[in-house]
Amino acid sequence: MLKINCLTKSFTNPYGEPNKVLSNLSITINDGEFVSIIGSNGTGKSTLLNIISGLIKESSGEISLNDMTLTALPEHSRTRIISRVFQDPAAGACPSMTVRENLSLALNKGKLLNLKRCLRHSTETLEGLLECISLDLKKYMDVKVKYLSGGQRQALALVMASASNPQVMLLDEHTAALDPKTSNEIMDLTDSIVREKNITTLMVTHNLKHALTYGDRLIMLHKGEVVLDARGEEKKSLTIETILEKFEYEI
Amino acid sequence: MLMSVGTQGLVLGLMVLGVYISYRLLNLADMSVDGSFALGGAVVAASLNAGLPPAAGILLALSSGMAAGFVTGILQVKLKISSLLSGILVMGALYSINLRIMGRANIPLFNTKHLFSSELSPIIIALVLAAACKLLLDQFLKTGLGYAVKAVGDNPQMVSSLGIKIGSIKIFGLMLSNGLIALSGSIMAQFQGFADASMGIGTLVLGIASIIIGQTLLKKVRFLKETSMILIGTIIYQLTIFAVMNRGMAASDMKLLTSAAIVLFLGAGQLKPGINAVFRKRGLSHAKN
Repeated sequence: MLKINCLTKSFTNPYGEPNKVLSNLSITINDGEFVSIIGSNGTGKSTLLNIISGLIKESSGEISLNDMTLTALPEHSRTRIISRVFQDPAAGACPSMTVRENLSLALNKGKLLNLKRCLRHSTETLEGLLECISLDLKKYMDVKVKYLSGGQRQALALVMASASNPQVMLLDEHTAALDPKTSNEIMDLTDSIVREKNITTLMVTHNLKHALTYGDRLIMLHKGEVVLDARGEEKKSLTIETILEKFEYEI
Repeated sequence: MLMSVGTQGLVLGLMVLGVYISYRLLNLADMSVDGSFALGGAVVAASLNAGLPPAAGILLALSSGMAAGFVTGILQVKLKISSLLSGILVMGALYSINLRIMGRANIPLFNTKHLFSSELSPIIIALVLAAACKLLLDQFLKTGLGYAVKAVGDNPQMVSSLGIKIGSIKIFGLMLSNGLIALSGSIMAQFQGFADASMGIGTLVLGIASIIIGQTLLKKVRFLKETSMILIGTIIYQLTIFAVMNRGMAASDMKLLTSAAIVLFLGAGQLKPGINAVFRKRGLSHAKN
């Protein structure tokens, strides 16, 4: 269980005044739960993911995963249990390395700093990782990632992020740079990976259709606070129009 | 004479392999190269003059280069000084350190027993050293640590998400790079028969030129590894310089020639579409006529 307890984060704005981005935020997420987080720009969605991953430090509050206090761990220690996929498809893999080499890197997560050969995984093992992808990545196994399309790169980034079986996966607008068809394909892939591996997932998105279609739970943030938290039947009853109304009302 | 140029190319090839680690793999502009190369020469000359065997002098040179790389890395990673400035600072500091190590600006090694004093042909010694370093580097780059070095230069954000401390890898890479460069400097000092405080000037440019020449000319030869391309590129570069010098070009123009060669090879890729378009246009106008 991922517990976010009274989390607050303040930045200093260009005029030297404190700007509270997250305000006493408390959310409890069950193991394997797939949560979509929506909200207008500047409401603290990405800040929340950055604090969970350890990229930035919280002003106050605590985040724990089961019995482990995540906020007490440095960023590099959290990467053993948390994986992340970024908005930019170029950010998820090494462009000058082949798909095979990138997958080997991901499979060796946490075990890289040694003098053992890195490319010791069999082709079957690596192809097995790409089994779930319909974007023909298997035939590009020995192609450098820089020659892949944005969708293929993002699919690879997702497979790499989940290859080490993380307990938590953070998706920061990971379909925002893709065309509608490819972004739907990447969302299908995301859903199948999350379900198959039972990974607790937080997905920040501006795509309301994706937020409603995928995931078990939808959380809307406004000014660093939760203004909507729907799951099950309540989530199913939501429509894009009702969410847009909520947006207008809150703003 | 050609044998001598080939030997020099192979010895400098070790330095270029070092530059390859910082410039290509880590994607860093490490300006300390010029200082590290001379450091290798200074350390081996001082060691041989003190009566140490060549192997010990070479090992000391290698270690001193690694120490220089460590300092550059610390300046970059811990003190957050830009890679360019860190290198320049270490290069400047090394000039004074090298003079202190040698005690004077130049130490002749003609009357000292060194690596090339044996019966073996210098080119054989240089070939064995270059092949050994290339093979070791190739093997290292296949390991987890080698992958991490490559990945840090390619996508630091992704490496960070794998739980690797980018700073530590950069420091390690710079140590490896400068160690190889100092090793090359120590062999070069023995090959030319003297160590000079200014023997490192222009080394970085030479290294980058050799990398670009090797990778540009040989990129379509699929069976060649990058390290082989770079070694061959260094020899091609040395032979070109030799050929130009033989045609009467002044030695003082060598730096100008090196810069022109880099511009030519780097610019060729950009100019190629334009040149092709001009030729196509001419071909079309000929057809019309």
